[in-house]
Order: sequence, then structure tokens, then C-alpha cells
Amino acid sequence: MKRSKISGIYAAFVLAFLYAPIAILIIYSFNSVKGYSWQGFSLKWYKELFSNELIIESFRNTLIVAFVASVLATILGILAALGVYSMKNKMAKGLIKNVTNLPILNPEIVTGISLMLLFSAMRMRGGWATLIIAHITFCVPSVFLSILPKLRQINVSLYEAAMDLGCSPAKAFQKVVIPEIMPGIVTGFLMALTYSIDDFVISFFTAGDVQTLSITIYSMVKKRVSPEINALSTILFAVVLAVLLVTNIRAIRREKEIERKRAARR
Amino acid sequence: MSSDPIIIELKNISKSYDGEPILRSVDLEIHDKEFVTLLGPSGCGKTTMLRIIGGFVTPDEGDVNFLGKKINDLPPHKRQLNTVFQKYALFPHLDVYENVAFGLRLSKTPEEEIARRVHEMLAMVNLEGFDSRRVDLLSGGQQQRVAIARALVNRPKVLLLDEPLGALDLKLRKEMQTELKKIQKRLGITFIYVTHDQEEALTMSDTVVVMNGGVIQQIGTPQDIYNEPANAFTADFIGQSNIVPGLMHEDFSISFGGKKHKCVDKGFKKNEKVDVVIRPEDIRLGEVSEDVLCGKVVNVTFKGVHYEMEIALRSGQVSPETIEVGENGAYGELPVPSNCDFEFEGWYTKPVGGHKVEADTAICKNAPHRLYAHWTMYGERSSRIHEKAVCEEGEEYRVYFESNETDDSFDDMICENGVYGELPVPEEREGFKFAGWFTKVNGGQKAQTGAELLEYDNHTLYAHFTPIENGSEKTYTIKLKPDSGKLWIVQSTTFAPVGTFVGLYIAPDNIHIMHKSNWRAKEEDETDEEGGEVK
Amino acid sequence: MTIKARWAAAPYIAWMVLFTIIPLCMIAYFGFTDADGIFTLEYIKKASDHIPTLIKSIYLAAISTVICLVIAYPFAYHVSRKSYSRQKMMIMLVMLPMWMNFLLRTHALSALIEDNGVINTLLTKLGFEPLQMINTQGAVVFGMVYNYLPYMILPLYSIMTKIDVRLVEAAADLGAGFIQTHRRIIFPMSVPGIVSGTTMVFVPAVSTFVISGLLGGSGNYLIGDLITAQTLGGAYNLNYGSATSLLLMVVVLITMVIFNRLETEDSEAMIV
Repeated sequence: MKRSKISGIYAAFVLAFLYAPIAILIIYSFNSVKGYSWQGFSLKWYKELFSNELIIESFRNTLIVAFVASVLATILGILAALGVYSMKNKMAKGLIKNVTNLPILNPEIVTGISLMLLFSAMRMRGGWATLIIAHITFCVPSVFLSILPKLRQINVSLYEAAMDLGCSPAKAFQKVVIPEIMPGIVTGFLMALTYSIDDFVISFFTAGDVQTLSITIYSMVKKRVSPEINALSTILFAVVLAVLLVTNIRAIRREKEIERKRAARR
Repeated sequence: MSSDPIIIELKNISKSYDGEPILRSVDLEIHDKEFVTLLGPSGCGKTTMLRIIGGFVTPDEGDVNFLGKKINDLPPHKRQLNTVFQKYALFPHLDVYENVAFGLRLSKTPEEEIARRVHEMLAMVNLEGFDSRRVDLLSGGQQQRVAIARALVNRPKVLLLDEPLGALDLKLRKEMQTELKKIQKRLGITFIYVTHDQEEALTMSDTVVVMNGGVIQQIGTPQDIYNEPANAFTADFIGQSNIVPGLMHEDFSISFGGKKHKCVDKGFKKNEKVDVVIRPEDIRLGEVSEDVLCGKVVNVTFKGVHYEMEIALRSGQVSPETIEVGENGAYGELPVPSNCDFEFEGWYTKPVGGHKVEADTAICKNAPHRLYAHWTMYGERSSRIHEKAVCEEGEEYRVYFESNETDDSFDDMICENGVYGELPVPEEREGFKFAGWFTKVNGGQKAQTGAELLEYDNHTLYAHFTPIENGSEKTYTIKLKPDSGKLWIVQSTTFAPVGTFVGLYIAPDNIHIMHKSNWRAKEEDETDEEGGEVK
Repeated sequence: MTIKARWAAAPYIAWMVLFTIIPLCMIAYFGFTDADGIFTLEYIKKASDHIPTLIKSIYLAAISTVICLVIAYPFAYHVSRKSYSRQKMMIMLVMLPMWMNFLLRTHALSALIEDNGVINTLLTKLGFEPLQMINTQGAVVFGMVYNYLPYMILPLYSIMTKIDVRLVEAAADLGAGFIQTHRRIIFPMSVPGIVSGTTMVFVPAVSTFVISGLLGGSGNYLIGDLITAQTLGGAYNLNYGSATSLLLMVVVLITMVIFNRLETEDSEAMIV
């Protein structure tokens, strides 16, 4: 009893540690002056944030890059998963898996630099193309890895049953395989989207003159006191929170219900 | 029970989860060196009881005593008991040796002694040389042995086993049963064994504790529990049983299944409603006869040593509510026709040949039945079915009648020609219409040429009369309770094919009679409701 | 299932070869050549001069990893013993900050500890001397712990939640108290989680340039800063930067090898 109370308090402390800095940013985003002595409530920094064209533009750039890269990475990933799934050669499969793990295990900075070297060797100037290529490169393994297990889970008989019932292979694929791997595709796409939006290090080396939000934030953060950044953090946090709540609360509520029912049945 | 001292005592233990009672003031004494089995269906509280003894669950109420000392608040790691867990719970990151050595290492036993005792244990469970094997690569049986060794190496006073053989296949389970019993004998310690497998409980235990609904139903030796079940639950759960409602007329006399039987029980109230338990292996199949229960074989399964048959009794009781032929057992409430040369034999229903209608009569379920008065001729003037032969054209049994009468008035006539006129037609009686000659056994088939009769011999012929009122036939309607539907299970070494009729012979001392238990009463309520719907 | 689609993997394979394997080879190539593409060990030698910086990076990353482990282990254990819906909620709470931009999180820390930051403002208000917190090694470690703690919690949690309660009960049954149960059962069984958590914290920590750049000041230059400066900064020299990157890659490779050894063969794939 006592032990669980202590560990509960401890857990609360850890969560507090994770949230305290963010909470402080949020509070000071409403401060009416620069710096960290509270001088009264104001929305001044939000106004400044929205009139900051650089931020608006880089936000737009980030979305474009993320969307294009994710879509391409998803297509590439679906094809790759299907291809690897239908491969028989174990060695080849293993090899592909190891290569897939490379960008995941490599430090980001190494990936960034290696791509930069490649682009410079190919005489490609940093810009949209390099940025999108780089983003596809680090997004595609996660798409691939989220679809492949779904393919493995498909009951082989389903596909065969569809053909037995008169589907052509292509039709069977569309009717059976695609719906089964759809959750994997969606997860993969969303993961790619978040990785891309969140990325700073690799973009830093490959973006050239394109400003993404991360790069803009970096240049602002380096200057330290910049209250618009606090406002931006607050907005992003609110967005993330809202997205997570919407996606998770329903699931959690359903699970709770199931749990309660299970308890009641006993 | 054992004369050894009591080692574990549960006093008035209650436990509930989320307001749902799991154990209801349970008392139990366990003696030293005893092999005790907690037996019951899942959810009966047996595992909770074991976990209370092991210290993993704290009872809401009551005391757990170990050698006379209260150990309610002692955490599991300080109790002198060890557990063999369901699915073994072996530590996957440790090899066989380290799993077994686990408890010894905690008690800071010197290394040489650990090695000696671990090897001793591994030898005992036949796992020599498995020291450095990974536990997750062992077979189920081997894992089981490791789990036993791991628990026993600490020399506990009591070993708790939570359905330890549940995950093994049948053959292995049997092997492990004998082995466990041997180990227990050899070590001379107490085993408390939880299982839902009654066979396991009967083979291994000194004492079986039967549990249901958080309550102990019966404690006793396997023989006691099997032969003298204390209530219908135990009877039903231990071994297979046919449990039917019955009526205890007086000492040594009971009726069930629509028939009166002799029995060896006494001390019940007169006409007390009781449960009758009959073990499937105590029923002998034989010829159909009027004196025994009869039924039709509906299913036969070959079980190796014996056949297991399901038999549908011609049952379904006359409902006391719809006709007066009720509890008192008198059929006098139906009008008794008078004044005739024939002896009134009783009221019979006609479909399926007609059952005799009296208290607790079982009749077939095709309601409504019409009632017919049965008459036998006075004297020895009954006819007998003399001979039966298989008809060439089909598989029907064609019946030939012959009189055994001294006066040969209808000696040889009842044959192919199909006229029953050769049998004497009784004189018309006022108020009744002659319906024909019927055989009596199993309700009586109409006796006429070509009649399809069941394959019994020695049928007596009876004259049937239907009562006539105002010139038309008067029918009495009997409403029948729905057939209680339970198929009787019979284990027999003799074979009877599906569809045949058989007689069930039960020796009086194999009829176990017990007071209606709550468990049973509940079921009865349900059937009553169904009966209501039929009305 | 017989989907004949082996060719479908071709674009992916081509992509990965072109944009993952070849670029990595190019790091090696650049590291061992000069600007004219002629083989030389000059840059490798030059890069080796920065071994003290590398050691410092390893040192700070290692400290951060250990602190993360110490914080995350009891937390993950606590969460893993909760009811299912409770676990989900706690894990969501842990992941939520991860979804925020990494730079903003680091910025949040600097707002807390900088010279005119929240803490110092408070201290001066209360009449204390302000503390020098930012631009110290401690600040860098703090930043690493703060940013990467969830990466330690999640794999630990996902392995602990799979530990069967019965094993814990079995240990108690055999005489193990709380501490012994952890020492002999839960900790050893969590090793795969610890291993993957450790690599997930250590690798980004050792190669970071953002945390050191934002919180460590000029005095706490790490290998990541060095590489950035060499490849993007004033001292623009790709060969030099590649050589230094090779150094970092060696470190990362060694860590991976060590930890893969530690991990038992049957370790489960971690959910990232």
C-alpha cells in the first residue's frame, strides 16, 4: 500500500519534470514584456507571430515538404512491402531489412551529412528537390516497417478464397489485401508526416535556401529571448494535444468500458 | 482423514472482488502429510483459496492459521510454503539450474549445498543433465518438472499446486499424476492441489474438497465423494451422473422415471421430493419389461472399455395440475367404470400405445393424449404373442397371435388374414365403446394382423374401451409437462444400436437418494417457468 | 499467398542504395581523400586531434543515459503495474512532449535556466544571487535527459508490461522480497528494454549539436557541433567534416555492437 503511494508520487514528479518547461513557455507566451519577469497578460506575441512573414512562409514550406515526401514515401513503402513479402530469398529479405534499419539507427547528423555529400557530388544545389529526397529517405523505412507486418498477418486463405469465388488476382488484391493493410498504410503515412514535420537535423544539412519551420525556429531560438517562439510553442502544443486527445480519448474510453465490463462479469 | 496434526486451518474465510463474493465463510482444516485437492468448476473460488493460503490474496474476513499461528499478514516470501504456478511461471532469463536454485540463493545457502540440493531435486524429477538448458526451450512436461523442483528444493512444509497439469496432454498428465503422488509420498509433506479435473482429484488425493459458488460442498476421501455424494452438485460434478427428480414414497421405496423402484435408503419424509442419482456405470441394459425403465437409444459412443449411450426415456410427467391424478397417487379421481365382466385395469393413453396414467406417470410428450379405459378379461383368458417373425417384404415385425387358452376358440385364426374378429369381441358395455385388443407392455399396441409391435414377447392382450358420453366418445385431455428432456447416460459393455428400445436395470443399492439441494431447486424453478408457458 | 510482386521492391531498393548506402560510402570516401579526390590520411589525422571533444561527447551522453535509466526504470515499472487504461493514459502523457518540436522543447529548457530565465528571475526576486546554469556541462546533460527521457521510458515500459505477474508472485513465493524481486527478476528481464532504450538515448545524445549549441554555450563544444561547423560553418571543408563523422560513426558502431552483445538472443523487437 505504502509502496504504491510513493511510486505514484514519484511518477507524478517525472511527469511534472516533462511538463514544467512547456508550462512555463505557455505562461510566458502571455507575458506583456520580453524576459521572464511577469508584467501582465497580453496577446502581443501572438499578434507578432502572425505578422511574422518568415514564420508563416516556413510553416507553409514545412507542410508542402511533409505532404509531398509522405505521399511519395508511402507509395514507395507500399511497393517495397509487397515486393519483400512476395520474395522467397531469405538472404535478400534479410539484406533489405538491414538496409532499412540503417537510417533508423544512424545518427541523424550522419544521415544529413552523407546526403549533403551525395548532393554536392551530384552537383545538386540545396533546395526543394534535395530536401524532399532527404525527407523521403528517412520516412520510407517507417512506412515500410508498418505495412510489412500487416501483410504477414493476412490470412492466406482470404486471398485464395477471393480468387476461388471468382476474383481475378488483381481484383482479389484490391478486395482483400488492400483493406487488410490499410491500417498499416495509414499509420505509416502519419508517421512519415510527423517525422517530416518534426525533422530539423537532416533538413539543416539538405534544405539549402528553403526555410522550413524547424530551421526558422532554430535561427530564432539561437537568439535566445524571442517571445514569439513561446507563442508558437503554445500553439503547436495545443494542436498536438488536441490531435492526441481526439485520436486517443475515444479509444481509451472504449477500453475502459471493456475493462469495467470484464470486472463486472467476474 | 488423517490423524496427523493440523497444519493449515482456514477459519471463516470470506473474499469478494468488486462486491462479487468469491468465497463465503469457508472453514477448512488441512492435516500434515495430506494430499488435499480443491476441486470445483472454474469460478468456484478454489484458486482464490489457494492464493489466500499462499499469501497472494488477503481475505476480507477470517483467519489463516499455519501450525496454529495466525499468518494473515505474513507476506508470501516469509511463508513456509511454495507454489507450483499455473503455466509454471519459470523465469525465462534463468537456466534450469538457476531457476531451481532461486530460492536457495535468496536464503544465502552456501554454494556447495545449493549444487547438491538442486541436483538432488533435478534427479528426483528426472531432469539430470538439464542444468544449463534454457527453460523456454523445454517441453511442457519438462517445464512442469522444473517448476516442481524449484518449489520443492526449498523444503516447504506445504506445496501449493495451482492446476499444474492443465497445459499438458492427456498421456503426460497421467504420468505426472502418478509421479506427483509418488513425490508427495516420498517427501512426506502436505500437497494442496487445485484442479477442475475430477478424475485427477480422485486418483491423487487423500482428501477431496469439492467447492462450488464459494462454498465447500463436501469434504471426504475420493471413495466417499464418489460413492456417497452429499448433494446433487457433488454427484453431478464428480463423475458422470444421471440426476432425476423422484418421489420417496416411504422407506425403501421410491418412484422416478414413472416407475416405482426399491431402494436401500430410508429416513426421508413420506412423499418427499428428492433427487435421485444414478451412475452411468450402475445401469445394466436388458430386455424391455414392464417393471423397469425403458427408453430408446439415441446415441452411442465407443469409449474403449465400454459404450457410452444416451437413452431417451419415455418420460414426461403427467402434470398434477391438469388432471387430478396427482400427488396422492390415486387414479381414482378419474371415473372408474363399473359393472363389467372385465377387470378394470386402469386408464391408458392411446398414442404410442398408451401409458398407464397414475401419479408420477411418465408419458410421452405428444400431448394431448386421450384416455382409454383398459379392461382385462377375468381369469386366465389373456392371449399371448406366440411368435414373431420378420416379414419378408420389409423390416416390420409382423405379429401373430395365438391363444394359450384351454378352450381353443381362437387358437389358430389370428394370422395373415388381418381380422381381429377372431379374438373374442367383448360384450358392449353401457357408456363404453370397444376399441380393440391391445397389448399392455409399453402402453400397448393395437393387436391386429400386421401390427408393428415392438420386439417384446409375452404380451398380454387387453380389451380397450373408450368411454362414451351422450353417444359420442368422451375424451379426457391430459396436459403433459414438457419432457424434462434429459438423456440418461449409460455406460455399458453390451452394445445396443441407435433406435432400439432397451430396459434400464438398476440395483436398489445403486440408487442414491438425496435431499433436494439449493442448486437443484434453482434449476427446477426454471423448468417450472417453462411448464407454465406450455399451459 | 502468391502475390507475384517481387519487382515492386525494386524502386525501394534502388532508392535505399542511392540515398542511404552510397552516401554512407561517400563519407568514407571523402574522409580518406582531399579536395581533389586524392587519397590522404591528413583529415583523419586532423580529426583525431578532436578525440578529447569526442570523449567529452561520449562522457556527457553516457551520464545522460544513466540518469535517464535511473529516472525511467521506476517510472516505467510503476506504469506497467497499472490497469490497462491507466497505462495507456500515462504513456500518452509521456509521448505528448515528444510530439512537440525538439527545438522548442530545448528552447523551453533554456527559458528556464538562462541567466535572465525563469529560475534566476525568481531567485533575484527572492533576494538570492542568480546562478550560472546555462552554458555549463550540467545544462547540456539536463537538456539531453529532458529531451530523451521518453525514449528510455517507452521501451522499458513495453517490456515490463509484458512481464507476467505470476513471475513476480513466483519470486515472492520462493522468498524474494521487493528488492530481491527487482534485482533477480524484473531488472534482468528488462535488459532488452534497457538496451534499446540506452541506444535510443545514447546515439542521438552523443551526436547532438542542437542541445550543446543551445544550452552548452561556446565552452561545451561537442563532436556534433564540430561536424556542423566543418561542413556548414565558416571552416567549410567537407573532407574534414567527413573524417570527423567517421570518428562518430565508429563510436556509434561500437556502442551498437556492445549492446547487441548484452542483449539476449531472444530480445523482442521494440516498439518505437
